[in-house]
Amino acid sequence: MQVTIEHLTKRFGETIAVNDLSVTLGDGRLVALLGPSGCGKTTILNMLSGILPATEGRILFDGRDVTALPPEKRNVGLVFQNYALYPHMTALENICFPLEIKKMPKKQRLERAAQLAQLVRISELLYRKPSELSGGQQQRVAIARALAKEPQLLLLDEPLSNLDAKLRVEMREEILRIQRASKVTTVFVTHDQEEASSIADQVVLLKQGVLQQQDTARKLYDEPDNFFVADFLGAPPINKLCGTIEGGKFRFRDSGAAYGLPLRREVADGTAAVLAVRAESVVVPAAGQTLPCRVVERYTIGKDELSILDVEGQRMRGYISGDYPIQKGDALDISFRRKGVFLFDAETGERLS
Amino acid sequence: MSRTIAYAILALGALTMVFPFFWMIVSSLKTAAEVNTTPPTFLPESPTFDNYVYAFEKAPFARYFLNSVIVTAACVASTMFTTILAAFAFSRLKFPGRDVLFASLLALMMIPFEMLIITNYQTIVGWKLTDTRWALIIPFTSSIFYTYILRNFFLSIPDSLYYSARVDGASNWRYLWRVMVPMAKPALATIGLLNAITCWNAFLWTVLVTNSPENRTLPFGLYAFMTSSGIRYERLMAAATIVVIPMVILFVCFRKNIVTGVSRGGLKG
Repeated sequence: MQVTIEHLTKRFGETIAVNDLSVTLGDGRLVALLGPSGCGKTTILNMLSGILPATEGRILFDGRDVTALPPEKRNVGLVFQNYALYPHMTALENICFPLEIKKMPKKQRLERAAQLAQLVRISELLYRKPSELSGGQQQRVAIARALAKEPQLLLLDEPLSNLDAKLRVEMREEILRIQRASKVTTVFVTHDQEEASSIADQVVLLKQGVLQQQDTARKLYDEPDNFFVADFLGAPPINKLCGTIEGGKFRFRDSGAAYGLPLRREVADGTAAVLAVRAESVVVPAAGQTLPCRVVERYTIGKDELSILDVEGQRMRGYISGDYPIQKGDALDISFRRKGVFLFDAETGERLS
Repeated sequence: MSRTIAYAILALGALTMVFPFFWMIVSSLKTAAEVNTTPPTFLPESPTFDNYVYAFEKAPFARYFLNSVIVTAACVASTMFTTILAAFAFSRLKFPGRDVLFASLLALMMIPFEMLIITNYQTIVGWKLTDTRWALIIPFTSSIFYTYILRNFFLSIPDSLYYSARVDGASNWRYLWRVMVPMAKPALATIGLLNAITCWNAFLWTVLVTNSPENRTLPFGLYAFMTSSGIRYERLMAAATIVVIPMVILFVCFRKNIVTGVSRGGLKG
């Protein structure tokens, strides 16, 4: 099912949790609502499920306006951050609960529950109470319960935040697998850019209730619309080199050294700007425009050799291959690749290059 | 050392609580002559159940017992029902004036029951229900105090369960009976037990609104034992035992629920 959100706004008294959001969530897609805490992601999810009424705007499911419909009439499945399993019921009873309310005959209910248990791989845990299940298992039960009534839309609120690091990677692949198997349009909320990038078909990035950009994770990473997007995605975080625009070129704050990038529009001289460079966009040996730098520190993260460099009096991180013989304290010339290097207005965050 | 002292104090406490109870049972098994000997015997020389037989053969006493059971069951069932509904409304439903209404109900708790006796009595007389069992039941079909306790328990149940149930398609009514009530079992058991004990022991109101033995309950029966035939301690003690035993049994049955209510505390997240 395709979900269309039109000019959706939610106000709580004076605070605006979601501000004039318009976005379309593709049919059968796995969509991530991404953003820092308090950016309105969960509020959007709650409005999609019908738990919270919208202040303004419309929500359309396949073109049908559902804005005024109560949760029970929207046919959505919802998995809460704390899973919200009914503690007095077994896993099986939890999964059957929505079907029981639909008055499905018991035999069918059990068949459906067995199918779902197989899908989320908890068949041998059906007779346990939630308190006897681990976090990951509880989550599987919660997903099975949400899928039980064959919803048109599955909503997951911070599905991985309550799990430990190792289980998190495993569960996110599980979510992807379950989504692909069930083919139901799925929206999940997360504040973890890696989580969103790794499994989502479509990422909706928000900041303080305002849409920043929505596209594939790849597109967000490679072509950020503004500084916030560039800064929010990527680990290690993108390097920020401060300076100004002079004569259509970026000039470093202290040294005044120039770095040229094709600008999208005329930019007035003296405009404060940020040259944002991804760590993997550092090229050694240098070619083209070169910048002199000094190696401040060098360490290994997994397979990568990450160096901290001093460029024109500012620190930045760059991946420099271990094959290249440099040591702490060495001076060398570097250049930047075209990809992964952006120029932003330091005040508005607007992309300039 | 400190352990020994602690145990000694606890043992003393336990003894003071249990001894009167023990004495009641022991005395009820003695003969009239033995009860009155000085110094008193600790254990009955020849235990006899005659006193119990007497208590039940004295016709109204069996009737009182039955009435007590009927009145207590009716009061507890209706109180639980109204309490559950009220607690749900005051904890989960949103309606204008909810909190003001609840606060004024709590304020009503400040009025002692004795103050309400006159108005309640007038109501019962007005409905021409004096000297019926209805008169013993109708004024006790709801309780602000239990509503307050249960409302607080309901408030401790996370919102996400409610919303989850709503998204699952459950109505408020369904959610209440399928999710909240089963989860509140320990709280309900506690409330039910307290309520049952209060009803079972009610005396003042019973004496006021009933006259005929057909409609009176056990506590009045005990009173009758004291006045009508002089004080025959062994018979009185047998009657008192009969009065107390059902509540003890009830407590033993629900004890586990009450304990889990205290120990379980929260939900595992």
